[in-house]
Amino acid sequence: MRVAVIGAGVIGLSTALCIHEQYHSLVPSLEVEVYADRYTPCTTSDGAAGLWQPYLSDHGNLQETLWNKETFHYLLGHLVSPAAKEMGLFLISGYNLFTQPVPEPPWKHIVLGFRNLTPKELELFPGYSYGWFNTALMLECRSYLPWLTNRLTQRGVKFFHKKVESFQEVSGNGVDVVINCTGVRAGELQPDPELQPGRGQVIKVLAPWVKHFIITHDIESGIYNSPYIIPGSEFTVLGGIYQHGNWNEENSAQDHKTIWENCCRLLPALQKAKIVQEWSGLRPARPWVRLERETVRHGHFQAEVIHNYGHGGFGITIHWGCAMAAARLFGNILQEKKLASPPQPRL
Amino acid sequence: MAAPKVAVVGAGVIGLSTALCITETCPSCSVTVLSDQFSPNTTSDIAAGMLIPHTYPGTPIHMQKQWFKETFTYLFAISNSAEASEAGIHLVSGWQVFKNAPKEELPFWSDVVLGFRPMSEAELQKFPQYRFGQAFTTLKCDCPPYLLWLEKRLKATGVQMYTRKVADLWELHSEYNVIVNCAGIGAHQLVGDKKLFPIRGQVLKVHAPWVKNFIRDGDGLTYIYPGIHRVTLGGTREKESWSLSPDPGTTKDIFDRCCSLEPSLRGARDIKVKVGLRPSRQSVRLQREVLSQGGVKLPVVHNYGHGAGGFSVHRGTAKEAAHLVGECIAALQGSSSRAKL
Repeated sequence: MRVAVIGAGVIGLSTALCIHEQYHSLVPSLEVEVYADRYTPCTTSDGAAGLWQPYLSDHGNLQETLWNKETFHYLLGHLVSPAAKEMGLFLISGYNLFTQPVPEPPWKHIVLGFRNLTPKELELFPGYSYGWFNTALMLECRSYLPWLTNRLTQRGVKFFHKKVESFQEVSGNGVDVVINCTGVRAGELQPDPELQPGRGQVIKVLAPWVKHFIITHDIESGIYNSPYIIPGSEFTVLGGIYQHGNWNEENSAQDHKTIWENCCRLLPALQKAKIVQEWSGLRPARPWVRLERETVRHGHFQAEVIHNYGHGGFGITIHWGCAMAAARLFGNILQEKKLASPPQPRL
Repeated sequence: MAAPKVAVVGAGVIGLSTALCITETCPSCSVTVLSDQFSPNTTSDIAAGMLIPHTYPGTPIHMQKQWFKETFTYLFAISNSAEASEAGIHLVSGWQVFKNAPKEELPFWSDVVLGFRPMSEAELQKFPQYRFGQAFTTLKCDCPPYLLWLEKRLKATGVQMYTRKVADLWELHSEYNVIVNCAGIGAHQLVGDKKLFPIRGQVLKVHAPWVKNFIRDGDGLTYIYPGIHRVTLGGTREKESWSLSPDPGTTKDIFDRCCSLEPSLRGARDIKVKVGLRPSRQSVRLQREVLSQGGVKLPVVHNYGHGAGGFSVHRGTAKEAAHLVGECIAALQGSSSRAKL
């Protein structure tokens, strides 16, 4: 049973690990391979700050809220393990700021210690009259992706540096199941008008005195088009750009100016921060995550494809819940092929 | 009296902030700081500089609260300015956890810090050995940066600073009109205050930049305070111990206690061990005194004995000390004008 995972961002690697963890003992012939043209540190995931935080509303998509919750609890469980540092996983507290009261988010009970901001706290942020404080998690992909890669390598998973041009390319080669984790470029394998790039740009600075994340929201401009500051273990990420439909992966001087000026206004202490790097990336935006099976036929060949892409700006936040859902779909395929009975549910 | 000459003895957080307050309230004064130690070799440099007050049994609570509030407000403004990183002032959030119910549900400072509230059940799950907890956001003054920033501001106003061991305040009477005694633990010898005693504290300063929240055991013995570049792990409270040498057994004990609060600290690197002697007293000695010897009078303002709470109240006590200096000068000017009649 050969499984090809296409894509080596947080979605591809975690899905590969989840499937291998759950099925390798049930299916002795299981061989998992990863195909990607970009590996860490060059994936979209690597550019993300790594803060666990979903969008403000799930638009009634309870499935996604559940996957976010599963991911949070999975990560929380790993916090006390010795692997946490290697994974790039740690707790972080911070602020979400608004210019007017907004409904509480669906993740209010998932994060720790969620509460409204007091008037004195709001004094820190002139121009913002309402906000939240909570403790969440950081999962830095520049550590997490190598950690996933190590776990996969230990399990005998093979990696190929290759741009896959079509499903047939892998399915015609003896692969039984294809896991499509191609993120923003999934449209190259199969047209998907729902999938659009949500271009972002960030400035990485040295500002180790910043201990909280600060995310502002401008309901009119939309998500991530308002300044945010997210401190990592080494660098602090400044951002606030979301351009729907823009495929340009080059840094823009105008966007740099917007980010820098807005973030320094938000946190005057940043004025003395040293700029270390600038980066642009394309969030794989979709009205909802595409996580489903498809039988792809081409001539005599057919392959089972599990799609797992379109996680927008919340890929890290939702990744493990989606990996588990993809693994369940894989289990269904095994059942149909009479290769295995369903595994016991994971606690 | 033209340009009254004021000497501040001591260059820790108390001495430097008091000198600064004096320049603010008495611009005509000539202020000089004298100390045998300057940053990074003061007691203040060892401290984490967390704004979490220590309660002085002998000082009225309303006064301690006033000092804390003044200090918090002053630092809050700096933390929110472009000077924050140079001054070493930053906000930090975290938890104070208790194995047994705390004596007071609401400490006197709970409405001065930000967002003070009891911890939720979910938050307490992270601390399995603890049953109660408080979450809040407060400020941290990193040293040396804060002391260096104070020194820079003092120099900018023309304050001179000299390395000098003052063995007796009377040494200074011919050069200065008013002496301000901010000698910290040094006051034990300098003015023979037997009510002042050291409480030895050993701490570890480690590289663990993923630790963004503080964690403190309500008993005050175990704490994790993330600073700009290093995390301070503590600690000990050894009454009447004068030893400044790090103890290796204590180092291991502190590290183990902190790792049980925050397991990821096992990955901490580059552990530096430091020792400081908290200048402890039942109450902060913040008062005027006129020393008298052979017909000569020497006005002194004492501002020492802040124990474990120096950073938390430094600005408030500095302002009060500066006010007392003003009273000394007024008294001198009054008596000198009487002398002219």
